[in-house]
Amino acid sequence: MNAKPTLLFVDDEERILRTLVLAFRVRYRVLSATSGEEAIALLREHPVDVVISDQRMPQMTGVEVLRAAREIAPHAMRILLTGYAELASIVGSINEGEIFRYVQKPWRLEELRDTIAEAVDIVHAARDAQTTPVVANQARAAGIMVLDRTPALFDLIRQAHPEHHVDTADTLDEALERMARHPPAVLVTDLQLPEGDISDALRLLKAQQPELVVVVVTAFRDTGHLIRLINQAQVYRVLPRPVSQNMLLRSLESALKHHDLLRERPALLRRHSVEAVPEAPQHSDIQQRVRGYLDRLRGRTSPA
Amino acid sequence: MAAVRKTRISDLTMRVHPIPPGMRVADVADLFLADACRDLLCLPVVQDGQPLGVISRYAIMRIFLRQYGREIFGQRPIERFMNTAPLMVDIDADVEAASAWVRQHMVLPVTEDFIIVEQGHYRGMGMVTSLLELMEHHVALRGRALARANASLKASQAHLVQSEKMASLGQMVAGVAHEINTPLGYVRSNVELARDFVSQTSSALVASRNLIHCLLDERASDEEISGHLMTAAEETEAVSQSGILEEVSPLFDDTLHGLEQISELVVNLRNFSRLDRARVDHVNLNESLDSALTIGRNLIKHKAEVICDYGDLPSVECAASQINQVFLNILTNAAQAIADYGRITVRTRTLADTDQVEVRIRDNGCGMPEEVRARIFDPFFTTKPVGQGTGLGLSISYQIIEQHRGSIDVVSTPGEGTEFVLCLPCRQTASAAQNPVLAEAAGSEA
Repeated sequence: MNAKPTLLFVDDEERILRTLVLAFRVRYRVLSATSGEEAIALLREHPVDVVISDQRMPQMTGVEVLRAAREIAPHAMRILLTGYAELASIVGSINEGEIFRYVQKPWRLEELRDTIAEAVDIVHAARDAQTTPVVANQARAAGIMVLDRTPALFDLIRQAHPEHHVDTADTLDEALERMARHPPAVLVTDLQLPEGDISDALRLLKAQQPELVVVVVTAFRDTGHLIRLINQAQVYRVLPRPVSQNMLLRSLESALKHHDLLRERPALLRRHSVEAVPEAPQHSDIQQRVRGYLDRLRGRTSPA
Repeated sequence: MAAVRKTRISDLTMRVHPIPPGMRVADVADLFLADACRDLLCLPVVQDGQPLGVISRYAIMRIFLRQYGREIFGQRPIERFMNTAPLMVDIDADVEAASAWVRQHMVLPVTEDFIIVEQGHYRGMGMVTSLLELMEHHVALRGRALARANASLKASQAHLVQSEKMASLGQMVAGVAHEINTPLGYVRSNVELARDFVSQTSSALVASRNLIHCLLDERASDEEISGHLMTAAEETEAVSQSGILEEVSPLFDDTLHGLEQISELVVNLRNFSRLDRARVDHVNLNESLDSALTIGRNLIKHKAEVICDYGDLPSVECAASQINQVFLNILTNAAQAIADYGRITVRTRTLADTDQVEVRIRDNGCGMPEEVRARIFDPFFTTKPVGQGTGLGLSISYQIIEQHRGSIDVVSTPGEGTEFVLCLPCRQTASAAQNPVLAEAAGSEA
């Protein structure tokens, strides 16, 4: 497979497409579409490695395009490139589009090149992985860690998933302590805990342990924050509080499946790779705690 | 002023010793002459604690003023002359209710005070004048409270108007920011590309120059020449492979177009706010509508096609930034009324023989039922979900048009759409003192 990887750009402004085509056509085969409908038609006809879409377009939104792309071309990586950071569209891009990155306009060409190159690498690694044998799935049921101060979520999840080991903790430290003993498949967590915002901890956790699937439950409504959660923590789902039971259980179901998939095909893990986080000295205590947990995990004898 | 503020009926109670019904008229008259009774208009007649009536100084006077009155009636018991239906107030009664009741039932001129009872038993007398005084005091207190409430209401109304302004300003800024973001996106990308292109072409240029130098140099060996030729061929081939040469011109066209768009937005933003203009100005409303449409483009362009049918308009004397705000408000409401994609029609014309200009803004959106239409200019009325509208936008628009001595009407049919019809006079004729538009302008520019 020596053909150039294929990118698909979707934007209703033709000048945006022109500059993107110009910027990427040397290294990639570049397709472009000015509407969601056109993009979907192209996705059905051509193998596409990375879809990069604007959010705000007249007939179909970017989230809708990426959701369709997930169905038609599940292996393609999805990136939202938009200047329109509305809360609903970001939550939609996480939950429905399962996007790899959220890039804000106006973009820096260098950064966009790096992000796309990374996405293309991941697609290719995953494609190679499909030809390698599947890692035997250990029969052990995957665990769920619920990190929340109120017991309601924990009770609900324990009742819905009696076959899984469901654990709960009030604080990050407690959760890390227990997770070191029983590494969970899925972490269901609020962002606001007694020790403050745990976004940083999530970022570090996900960077070190990409097979951990994170479902965030939050009343928090800051768009910039959610964008960082996508780009730097690759959260799998964001559910607004108050949480609908159905939505939570459905999300959990698909999070568990997703974890199984990741364990079967470790190469897929790279799809969840996160942006390098500049070391933030002000959060060094959180980093230390997370590192401590990771060390403890590594110290355990790995299953033969 | 009493040191202790009187607030209840019991505070008014005077312990007046009552007289028995059998007391003789002459003795009652003597009592009225006593110093202790000097301030009393009347005396209570009580038997076994039950008030039977009152006898007033006035009634005694009437008896004695008759010829031989004292001689004929002096020995008779007082009960035959007393008022058997006196004013009675319960000691626990509310001051306001009691005073209302007393005022309603008292007879003028005031000749009797009222009896204060507790569960039907005599407790004392109360003076009508003190009750009215007390009431007056209450009213004054309430008046002060009302004035305070009124002041705080005014302040919070001003605050709300301000926050509506800030909210629409925020919405406007967000919209314009997004509008600028798109051209900025490709302009930036194009400039970055152009920089790459320049560095690529310049290395091809250097290689070609080296080749030429080499060819012109008599001492150059064949190897050197072919080396330079190879490099120059590779470099120029790379440049033509990249397609830069064909693309560079449209690239700059796009960049200039983007910059044009950004400057247009900035110009419109300035026109819209009119910060650099006199507050009251003579403006062409067609231009005002255009700048409102540009500012609102981000909200409108995905919801509707806009058709402008402008007539030839004379200039209109108005506070242009306010009128722009009204137009933007109505245009964004029109866009919000459209579910998928519709049409907004903007028509302007001069009304014949009236020196008035008419602006019609029509959408083919969801329309509204009569009960909504009737209330849309009411403050705080909104059909938007909580948190999305203050319900002040149209009410402020209404005020602005009214201050300009214009009119704003709305016609709507559910399912078919809504039309706003605005009329503005070309001249604000009234003097500054009477015209809020001019007055405010004078104030703000003084």
